[in-house]
Amino acid sequence: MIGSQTNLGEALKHLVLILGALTVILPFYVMLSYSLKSPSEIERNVGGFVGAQAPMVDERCVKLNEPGKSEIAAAKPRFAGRSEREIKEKLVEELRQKCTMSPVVFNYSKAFSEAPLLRYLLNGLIVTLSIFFIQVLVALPCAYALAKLQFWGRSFVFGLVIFCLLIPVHAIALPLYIILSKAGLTNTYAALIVPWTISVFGIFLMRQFFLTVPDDLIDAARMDGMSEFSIVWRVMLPTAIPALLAFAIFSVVAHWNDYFWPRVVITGNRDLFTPPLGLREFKGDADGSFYGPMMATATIIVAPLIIAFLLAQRRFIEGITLTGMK
Amino acid sequence: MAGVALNDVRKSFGSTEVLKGVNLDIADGEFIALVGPSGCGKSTLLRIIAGLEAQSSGDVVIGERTVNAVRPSDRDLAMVFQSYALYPHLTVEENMMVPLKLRDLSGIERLPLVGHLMPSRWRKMRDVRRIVDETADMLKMRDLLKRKPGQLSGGQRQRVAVGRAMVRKPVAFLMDEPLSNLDAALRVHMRSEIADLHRQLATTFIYVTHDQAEALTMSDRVAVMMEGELLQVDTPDNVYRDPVDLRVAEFIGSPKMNTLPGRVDGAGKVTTVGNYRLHRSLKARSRDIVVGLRPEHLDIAAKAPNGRHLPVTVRHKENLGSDYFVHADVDGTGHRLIVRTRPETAQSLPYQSSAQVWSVNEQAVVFGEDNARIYFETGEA
Amino acid sequence: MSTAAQSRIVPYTFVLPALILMFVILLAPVIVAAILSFTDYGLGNTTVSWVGWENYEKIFKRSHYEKMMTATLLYVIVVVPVSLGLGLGAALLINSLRWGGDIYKTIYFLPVMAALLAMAIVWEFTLHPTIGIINDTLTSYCDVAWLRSWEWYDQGCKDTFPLWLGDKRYALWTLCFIGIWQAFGFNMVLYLAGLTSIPRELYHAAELDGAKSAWDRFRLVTWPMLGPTTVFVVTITAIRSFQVFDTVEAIFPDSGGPAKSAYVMMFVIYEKGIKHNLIGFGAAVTMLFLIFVLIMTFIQHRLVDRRTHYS
Repeated sequence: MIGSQTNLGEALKHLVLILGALTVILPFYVMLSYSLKSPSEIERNVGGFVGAQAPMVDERCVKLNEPGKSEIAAAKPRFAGRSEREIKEKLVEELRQKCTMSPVVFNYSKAFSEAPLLRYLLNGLIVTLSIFFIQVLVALPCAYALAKLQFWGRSFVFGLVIFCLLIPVHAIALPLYIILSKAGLTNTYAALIVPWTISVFGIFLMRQFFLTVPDDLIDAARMDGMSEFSIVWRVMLPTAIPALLAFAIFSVVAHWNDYFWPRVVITGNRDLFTPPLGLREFKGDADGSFYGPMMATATIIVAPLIIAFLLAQRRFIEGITLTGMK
Repeated sequence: MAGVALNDVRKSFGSTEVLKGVNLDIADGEFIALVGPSGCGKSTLLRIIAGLEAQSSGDVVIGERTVNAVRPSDRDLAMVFQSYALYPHLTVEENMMVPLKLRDLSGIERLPLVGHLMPSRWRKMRDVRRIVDETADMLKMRDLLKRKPGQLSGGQRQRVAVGRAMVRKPVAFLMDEPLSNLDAALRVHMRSEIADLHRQLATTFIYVTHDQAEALTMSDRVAVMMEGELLQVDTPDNVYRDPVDLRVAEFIGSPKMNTLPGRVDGAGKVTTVGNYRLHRSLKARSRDIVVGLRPEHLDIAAKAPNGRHLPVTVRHKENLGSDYFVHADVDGTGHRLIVRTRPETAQSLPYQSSAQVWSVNEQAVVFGEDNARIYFETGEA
Repeated sequence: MSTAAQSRIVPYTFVLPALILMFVILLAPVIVAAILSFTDYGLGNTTVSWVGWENYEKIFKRSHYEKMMTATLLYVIVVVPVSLGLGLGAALLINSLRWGGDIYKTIYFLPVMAALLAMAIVWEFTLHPTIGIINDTLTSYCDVAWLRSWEWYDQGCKDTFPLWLGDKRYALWTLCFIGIWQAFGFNMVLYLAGLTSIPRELYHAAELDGAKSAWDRFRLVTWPMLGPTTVFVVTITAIRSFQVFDTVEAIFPDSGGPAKSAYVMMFVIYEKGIKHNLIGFGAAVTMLFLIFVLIMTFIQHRLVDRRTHYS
């Protein structure tokens, strides 16, 4: 019989693969684990995976709410007969109690409070979905025309599509930035979305798919009186769901994770930060005690796609393969 | 050069038994055709002989060696696949060199760059090229050597596949429906080429096909296989004229043999549909039987020459040029007979006309309800 | 409008938005970049002048930019073959497993899904010289004798273990590692698809021809039949490697690596073109980048053409 069927062979293969898997998972482990730990645990590298979850005191919280003269004065009635210094000590103690929380809560709440993470996530959603939506709007009719309609200049347009496949959009970031700058469009949603609305890859992919749709189906629709426009959305779209799904995965993953272009084009307005930008900014002004919240932010940014992937692995992998083989 | 023997070979896939105890002795240098309908297990059997699949039980013996535990590459066999399985990235010449290089060159000599530096390689490659050239000559493929499989026609690719199998001079050739991807005319031509090749090489050929005509025209012996069992193994003539099983009789021969239900009475006399009787007596008594009548053993006319006949109505006529096959329904029954006859006779019988069919020389083959053959009293079948 | 006239216009209305966008977003910027690369333009400048090949000369003469070329090319030359090899190796191993293949597939594909910027920051943290888990773990085994007999390890125990990202001898290779970590899962998936499309009968033919070892089968059937997949993987990985930015900017935002050892092209375009507003120069680097991409794609096409041999 052909092939290694021995149990030893299988065991060795698994050994190698497991070592690889450990290396691959390492940063995810670090990210998740440290998002659950307290600053002291992080610094000393202890606590196993989840950390001891011992309640910790948020030093910043204490500093921020440090009792001043007015607070001490207001507290006088409560601590009759004590000196100002003693009252202050007591107040600080109380404050420390209030500012105590478990590391998980500390990390994740800081992640959302130190920067408008929720806003960033929303931006990511808006940008990613808008991009995909417009990409489909532009690409589908074009792909249909290239695949099924006869018109003068068709091969020219297709040739152009092929040629444009060669141009990586990241490469032309600079001139695009200039154009947008001149138009006063930096720091807008438009700047984040518009350059990605043309997906020649999407046009190419959908055209390949549309070529396999039988002409009879389209002719029947025409005879039923459907306009070409309706045909695109009512006939071609439903048949192309697998390819569309693959394209969706491709597009959403690419744009949710994109750092370079938003970095170029969003120069001042924090409200428009996408999640990677938000994380980067977080890192920018982090000191030692902020590794926990930083890892928590990273986890939150990375989680949606990872969870979606884990739930629908087959689809993802099929999708990537489909786009790859074209 | 060796014979191949199969001893009680069985194969099950899960709970399905695909081969049910196959016993076969193939002589050295014999051309044996393994024939049967799709799914009967013949390809599985061939792959078990090759070693590409393991049998569930039973032995495969090549020459004197029991090869059950021997891997395919060590069994000294060669196989021509239905899809030819040529290496698409190599030229015809390189395809044919592969088995020789794997056999004769050591691991180091085969390495891409380093191997070319070894002086022993040059010597060996010269021999390899010589063998490939000789084989190409034998198969009249010299002008194809530098081409790649993608540039060849189906028939050419088939020849390359055969060539690649030949270069190692194996003890037996295994062929898995090698002609089924070719068009009809080419198939007929290739049949004679393969038969010629067999005569030239005088090596054992084990040839799997579902086409009974191929099996009959090319082989020394035919092994008819159905549902995992060998029903009959004999020369083509015998399998045709003297089938031991109804299923063999129906599978072999084109057009398919006519079968009519009948009965043999207490005196051994056979009666069939429409009260048609046979003169000869059967070696059986008081049973239900099936009477087989080949088209060429029947004749048809407006009026039969003597009394015994079957009344029929002409439904369809097949014009084969030299002969006609007339399809006619026996009156009062649903049975259809196919009769071979001369063009003049057929042309004289209009469609839907009444006619009469009779058996010429009473050449019939009779089977019991268990499909087993029943013979006539007087010596001949 | 008559339906005949209508149906003549329709294709153009379908194609027009895409055409316009292609010109405005893809083609025009290339031309703009080409033109600007010959100027000393900067946003907000009142004057702009033609400087001819000066920007290009700077790229090839100044030592900074020599480092840019070195860093970029080294990165590509390391990441492409290694991520290809690992992807292929993982695909071969997983394909031949009896069970568990799906689990490994999922795990190895995770890095592809995770935002590189986020993971780069996590890696930076993991590789931190003192509190990073890697160096920490290495240090904790310093009392194991047979490990200490390895000179590098011994050295690390005595001083410190390497500053993976802080040391100019290690920085670029560490970045390569992160890049490979992120990319090989994608290549693995492509190779898995390629492997399943290899006709099994070819392996049977190889076996009967005498191919006994896995290496023989690989050389005779697997590798040649994966040809188109390999070409695709190389091109995609190469183009993506040329575009590396996230890891460099996240970890070395101001320096481009210790002694500029990670001073890659995209980073230069960002730093010079956008941060320092030297648009003309940035455009020149952009043009150079585009030429590299074109060359690679051209090579890919030639290779695919020559190797098309399928029946």
